[in-house]
Amino acid sequence: MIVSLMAGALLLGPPRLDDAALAIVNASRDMLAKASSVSGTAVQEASGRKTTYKFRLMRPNYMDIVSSSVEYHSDGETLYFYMVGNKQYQKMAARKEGQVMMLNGFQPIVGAKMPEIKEAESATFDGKAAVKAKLPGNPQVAQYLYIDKKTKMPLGWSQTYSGQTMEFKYSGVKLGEKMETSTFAWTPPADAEVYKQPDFMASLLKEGADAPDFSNDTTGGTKVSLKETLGKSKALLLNFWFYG
Amino acid sequence: MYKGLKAQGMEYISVNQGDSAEVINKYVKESNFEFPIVMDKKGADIAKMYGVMAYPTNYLIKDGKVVARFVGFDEAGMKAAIRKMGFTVD
Repeated sequence: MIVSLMAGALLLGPPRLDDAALAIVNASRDMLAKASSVSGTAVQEASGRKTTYKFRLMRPNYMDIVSSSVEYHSDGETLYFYMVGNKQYQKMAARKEGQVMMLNGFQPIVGAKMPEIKEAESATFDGKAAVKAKLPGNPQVAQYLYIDKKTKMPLGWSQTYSGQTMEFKYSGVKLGEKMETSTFAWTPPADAEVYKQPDFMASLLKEGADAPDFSNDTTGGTKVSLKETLGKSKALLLNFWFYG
Repeated sequence: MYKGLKAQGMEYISVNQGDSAEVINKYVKESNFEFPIVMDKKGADIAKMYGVMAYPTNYLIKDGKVVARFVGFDEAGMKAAIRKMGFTVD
């Protein structure tokens, strides 16, 4: 699977500069910037797992994004992030505008700045003639936005990192529907609790405990042993990291 | 910071958990690290032994014992602890 994806990437190469495709990206942005609202469905597919989100956005900062596992709500004042499974939520002040997550392509609806797109080309997405536009960001993560050539509507987006691809597909998208601000009111269920950050110190070895030895390979092809390194130094800083 | 500490006799071991060698090497190149990165095994054996649940986590070790632990980017806290151990940091 990974091999075939990589071979595909090599054959296709990076998107080329295509003025006609870029014009469609800009037309989509201008069309959405004039719309007051959007609603629809976004299906996320990653590692063969599908998650369906129902979404509504209304200018300037109203939002509902709801799946069976997570919910995001903004009533214009407060932003809630609710984890359905463990009934925990985070609550924060809503941004005045430009607040949206995971709905790439629809940012202009809520006045959010669209990422600057410099590369776009023709492609097919979900069986439709589309423009594939490269989203800027972390160079290790390839993100592409797909826009319908005919309707100028975002069709979805994809992200590839370390050979793993995640894709969002939009469907049933309606632009400019009349929505009442009162319908965005949301409060957590009565039995829900505020999310507490786990105590990441609790599981660590206590001060004064013996530092367990290890001997592992390094990226340089050598082996590093804690005991040996300690033996030739006064003290040691042991750092654990993970880029993600 | 680490260069000055090495000269004073403090060694540094950096353990990466879970990134591919490709990602590590790219990151190392970009950040101009001058030391090898220890790759934790697939089951994250070292991280497990040290109870690491979040990244970054740092341990200060002396005479085979844990002196201090830090979760997150706590540079001020780390510098203070390193000074307490008798090292000089700016």
